[in-house]
Amino acid sequence: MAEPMKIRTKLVDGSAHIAVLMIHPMETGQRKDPRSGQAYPAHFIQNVTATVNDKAVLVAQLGPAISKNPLLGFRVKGAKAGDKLAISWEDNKGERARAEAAIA
Amino acid sequence: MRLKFGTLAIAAVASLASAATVIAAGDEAYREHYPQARIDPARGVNGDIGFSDTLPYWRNEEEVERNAKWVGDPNEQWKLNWKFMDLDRIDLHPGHLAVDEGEAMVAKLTKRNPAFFSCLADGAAKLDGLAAGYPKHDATLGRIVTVESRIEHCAKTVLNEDIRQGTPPNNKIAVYFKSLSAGTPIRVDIGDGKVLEAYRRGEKLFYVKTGQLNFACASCHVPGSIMGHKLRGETPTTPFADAAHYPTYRTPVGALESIQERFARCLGQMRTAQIKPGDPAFMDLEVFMTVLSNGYPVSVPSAR
Repeated sequence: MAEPMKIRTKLVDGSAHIAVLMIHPMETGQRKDPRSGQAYPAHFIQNVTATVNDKAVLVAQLGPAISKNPLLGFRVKGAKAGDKLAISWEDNKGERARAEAAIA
Repeated sequence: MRLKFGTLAIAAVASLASAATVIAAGDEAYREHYPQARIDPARGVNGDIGFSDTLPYWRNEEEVERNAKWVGDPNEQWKLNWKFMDLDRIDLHPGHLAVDEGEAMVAKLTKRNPAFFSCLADGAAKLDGLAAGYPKHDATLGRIVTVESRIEHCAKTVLNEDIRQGTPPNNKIAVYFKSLSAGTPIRVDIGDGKVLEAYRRGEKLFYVKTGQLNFACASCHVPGSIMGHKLRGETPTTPFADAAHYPTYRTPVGALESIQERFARCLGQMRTAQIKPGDPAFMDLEVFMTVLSNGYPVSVPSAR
């Protein structure tokens, strides 16, 4: 995969509208392989952290109810153009990803 | 569920006539036709003036932005021809992921054999802007090619691999290919006689009634039909510029869909013969639809 996340930002009336598309299978652990009858092992994002200029603005705990390739949208008040936005997630297998973008 | 094209019709007339030698030409299966709307192919997307007359509302992004107040208004929204969905191009949807996946696939296949890329680009050094010229008539192949059938053809001849039209890998490559032409006005060359012939055949299919419901595409998508009025909670829109955003990520389906897959879905809803993407009838219909989008910029990746 080219990148683990795609980030779009837009400043509207002094707050940054941020959308993050995270590339992840988000396997619940309930789904079974029809041939073998074995369940696909659970694999989903558990923690998401967003920071603006190294200050945490969003800490979220996701679970298996979230769809594949989740899209997370949120707004940050008081963010300015050029601020450094960083998103990172960690899943239940301990895999991590991090992406950065400048707010525009 | 959003019904973008509403209904489209395909006739089995041609196959019937060619298969049975004993049947004289005059004994073709009887078909009803919807009255022709007289579309001038040379005008491209501007042909909508005097057709549905909604073009001024969605001609470009500024116009769509200005009329964005109509979004969600059941009586007015259809006038935007769903083009307000394209304002979300900066927004995020899985179509954007497909661009990356398609790019990686093209890179991988090109690595296996560089001839794949030159086949895809038809000899050009880059893919940028090329998709705006499809569908076109390929003289060496002697048939109409679309972006999807070009990918299928190149994978088969160069790599001996099946990347058939209407399958997810084909769609991913097609989205990547077309995204490199995003913003380029569509320019299908109707000066080419073969393309014009395909256009005429496609036009015929647009008006021929078929299926259990005896629908033609035109039953819902020409002035004086249901276009602009309600059809089971949907309001059919003009067919102009509809080919510009395909292949698109379809939210009701949850997958990428090429225009010919969309045609096939329409046929299901019309309860008529099921034909597969890549069928000559679909090729002609795609030529017809794309000529109606001539001059309108390619809007891929998109979501509908």
